[in-house]
Amino acid sequence: MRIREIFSLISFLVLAFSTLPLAEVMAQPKEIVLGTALPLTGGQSREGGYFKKGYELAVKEINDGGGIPIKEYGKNIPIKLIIYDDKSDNTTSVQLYEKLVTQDKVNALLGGYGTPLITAHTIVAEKYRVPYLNGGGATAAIYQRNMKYVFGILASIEKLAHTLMDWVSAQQDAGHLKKPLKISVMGENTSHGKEFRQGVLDKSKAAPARFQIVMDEPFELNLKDADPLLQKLKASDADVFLADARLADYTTIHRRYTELRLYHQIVSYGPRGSEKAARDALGEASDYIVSCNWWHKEVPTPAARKFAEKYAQTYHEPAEWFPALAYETVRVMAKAMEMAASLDKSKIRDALAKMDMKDSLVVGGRVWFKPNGQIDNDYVMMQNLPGAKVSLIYPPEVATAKAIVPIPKK
Amino acid sequence: MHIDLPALIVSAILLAGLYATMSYGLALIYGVMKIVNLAHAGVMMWGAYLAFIFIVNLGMNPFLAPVLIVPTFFFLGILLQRYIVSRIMSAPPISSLLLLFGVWLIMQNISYLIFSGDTRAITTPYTLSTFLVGGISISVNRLVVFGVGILALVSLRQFLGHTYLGKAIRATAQDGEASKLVGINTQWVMEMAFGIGIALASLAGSLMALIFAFDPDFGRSHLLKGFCIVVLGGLESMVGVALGSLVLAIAEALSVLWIMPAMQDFVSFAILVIVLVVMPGGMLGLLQKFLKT
Amino acid sequence: MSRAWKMGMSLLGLAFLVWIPFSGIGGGYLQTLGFLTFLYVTLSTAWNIMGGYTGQISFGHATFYGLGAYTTSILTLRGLNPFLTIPLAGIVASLYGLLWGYPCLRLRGQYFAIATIGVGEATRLLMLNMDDLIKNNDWLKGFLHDGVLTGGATGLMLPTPPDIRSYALGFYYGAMGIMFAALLVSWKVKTSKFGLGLLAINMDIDAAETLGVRTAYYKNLALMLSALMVGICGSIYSQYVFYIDPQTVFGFPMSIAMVLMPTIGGIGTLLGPVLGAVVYVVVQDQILTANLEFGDFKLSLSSLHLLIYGGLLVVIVLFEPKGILGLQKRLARKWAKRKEDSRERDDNAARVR
Repeated sequence: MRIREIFSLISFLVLAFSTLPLAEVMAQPKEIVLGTALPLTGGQSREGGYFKKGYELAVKEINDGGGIPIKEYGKNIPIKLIIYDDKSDNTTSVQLYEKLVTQDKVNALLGGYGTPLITAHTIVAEKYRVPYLNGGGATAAIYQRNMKYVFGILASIEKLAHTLMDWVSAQQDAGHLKKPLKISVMGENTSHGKEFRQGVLDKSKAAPARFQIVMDEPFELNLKDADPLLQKLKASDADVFLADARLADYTTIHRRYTELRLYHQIVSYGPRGSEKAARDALGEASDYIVSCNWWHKEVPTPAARKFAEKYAQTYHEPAEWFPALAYETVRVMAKAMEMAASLDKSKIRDALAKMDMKDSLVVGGRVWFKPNGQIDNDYVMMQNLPGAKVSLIYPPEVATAKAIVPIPKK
Repeated sequence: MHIDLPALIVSAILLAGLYATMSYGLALIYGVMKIVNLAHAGVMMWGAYLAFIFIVNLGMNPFLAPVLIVPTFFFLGILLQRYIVSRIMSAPPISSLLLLFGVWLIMQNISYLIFSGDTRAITTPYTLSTFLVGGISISVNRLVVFGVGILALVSLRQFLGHTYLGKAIRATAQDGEASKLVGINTQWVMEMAFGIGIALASLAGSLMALIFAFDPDFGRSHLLKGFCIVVLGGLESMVGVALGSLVLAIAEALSVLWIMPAMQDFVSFAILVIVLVVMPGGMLGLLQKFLKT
Repeated sequence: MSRAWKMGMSLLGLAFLVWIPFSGIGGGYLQTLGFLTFLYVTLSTAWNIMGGYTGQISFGHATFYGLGAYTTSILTLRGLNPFLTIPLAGIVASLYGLLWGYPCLRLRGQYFAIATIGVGEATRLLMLNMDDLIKNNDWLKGFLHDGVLTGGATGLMLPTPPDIRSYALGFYYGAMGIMFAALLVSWKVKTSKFGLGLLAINMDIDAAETLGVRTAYYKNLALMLSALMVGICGSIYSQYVFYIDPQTVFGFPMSIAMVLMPTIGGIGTLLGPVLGAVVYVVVQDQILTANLEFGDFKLSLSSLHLLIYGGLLVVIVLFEPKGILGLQKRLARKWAKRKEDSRERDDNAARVR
């Protein structure tokens, strides 16, 4: 009996595996293959969808211009973009990136979205020595593993928190806010939220005369009731309220915050708050919220404006930072390939390491990488204004208005 | 740290209303058919999306939307029972678990295809409106949900205790064969029960859409919490669900004083396991034992 | 089919599996898929011992996977050779199985299933918050290393060796070996007195108890064995990806996958879990990456993957609860019956003449 069963097992395995196509060999490349696995379903599907749009827009634009000029072949080569759905699952993500590298034979990898997914699948890029660039993973820990082939154009969440705190310091120095300030911070219980809280705590510890932490709480995703947290917030008697939450929890928390008629001199949800969906969900309750983000469509640089218009035209919705960073990821990768003048993976990797791209849509306009592969550029800070408007309050080069600090009481 | 305890308790009571409303359907279907309805999450999610369409796209009054949604899902529930679930009534429990799980997956995919994975939120004139009672701010939406929770409890008790169908449902739950012998059309009864259970789930979903932002994955954490509540309440009784909701909500709210808020859910699940192992009759069983002694 | 022929085919199949890493099929992707398949076959087989043989459906088996993964990661970060941690990981998972299994296995049918859901989620949340829980306790905080025990939401990252690819071959054959070992264990269980006892418990636990089967002891043993195998898989996974977080290894989707595979293939059989795992991995790979094109209309199958899984589940439960293996046996019986009937007809025809 057992032999028969083993036989069935093995013959089935053979049959199943033989459905996979055999390897092909290409001499003169007729296209450059860029591959990525995005969370198009599952918990991160909203952001994954944005990234897909950004990637597709960039690839179409480049292909409309004939492709990427590669000196080694003396011509422009169009891009073939492969996007897989990793279902917001780590194991699937790793498997798909392996597929992209081995079976689809990509020339380079574009990043996914979401710190856990990225932390997991970047091992594939490093393992096979394929250059990998992402615009969707900001946690510093991703880049602290001594990996040579992994690059990111998102500055870290830690830096985001620091930027926010530095801005608060500047408000104190300008006399708008007092010293010391009592700060309550809460963050979703993910690496994103943890890094945010840690950043805030670091700055407070470094300047006790300016900041006192009176509350520091993590919370589980998908809150059903923000009351316990907000009662704690109320009892902490803080001056400044900082939080890190994704859209669903931001909605739950801030709605209840408004209903409870809570007030703080500054309210910020980190990168959240100024995008359209967030404004729509809260209406005027989201007025005066300060946010700190990697990009905003009102940034007045030519590159940012160009993208904002193009995106709005193509997809009939306002541009958010997700597709903007995705779009730029493709452009930076294309530039790296052009600079490498070849499709040799280690040459592309070196080109990325030496990258110094100007006129980028990222804040500060310049793309370059620290030795660990992560960009270290600046953030843009916004404040929501009544009438569904948003003003840019930092950095000074792009600011459109002075921040209203402390925010007015209702 | 001086926490406003009365406010905390009030919000916990309102939350209990929410918990109860989202658990009745689960308890009814389990009580009558001994089926754990994993598609409950999918129905809540669809209820939310349907409410979105009615309120945002068609401009309907947010509290009127459930009036249309609930009967729709009642019929859907009957169809689901008649053509699909009835086939596995006599199969081992894993069949119904897997079947309804599969149905849930299909429901999710349909939502992804139609609505994409974007998070949606419904904003109405009632969204942030509150009223003050003794200095405590009460959200209108949550009060409505609480009210519905109470209303549902009363109606269900009335229905199960004093109508023919209700009594037939209880009889079938107790002993299917005997019920057939006394002339009850058990097939029809089960269809009705399943339909009502699904309708209750859609009611919960359409109301929760006013409070929470949602996407096709919505309902999963509510389903898991619903298990905790139904088990705590004694698995089969509506009053048990109400009691279980109250106990759980208050325990969660008070636990903030001693443990991390992030561990609230852990407490719920630990309670789930402990109750299952130690007091299978749930709280109601405990109470009944108490009253008998 | 003659025995010699079957032997030959099996050896051929085995040779094929051994040859895959050198074949370069799919540029090496087949090797990756193979590794994952071996891992999932082991998981599937392990779950089947509890869910298939004993009939105790567990929706919380991810706890063992996670514990195995975390045991290895935590010990590796403190300097232990990761290889040595593999059996330890299995043992830790197994002991955890005893811990919650002992009270919970008293529950019947779906009560047990619901309890496992509770245990699964509770464990995940515990691991998620463990660091924050112990950092303020003077005695427990000694377990922290660089301020981290489980790493909470951030997870744990293992140090990456300079040449990761050189280990790929080791992983492939190692996983293959473990898979065959698991199948051997499963077969031994099935054909032993222990397995018979499990079957009896599955069919009618009260009757089994009356007949003298030590039901509690057997159930716990089955769970511990199942947990051991799953824990070892978790350990291997963490060493393959070099990164674990609570959601991936303790999450509900992982538990569901372990239920899905044996169910698709044929619950309660020896080879059913194998078929189920192969189908799961291969089908998933195809679904997530294939694109249908009808002229201008493009549809990526991955946008339908939930529909496909859900539909598969519904169809299997409604029409063939015994899974693919059940279907195959049913068809084989029909075929055999048809051959019988036609042979009878021929015999009758010959007799009449």
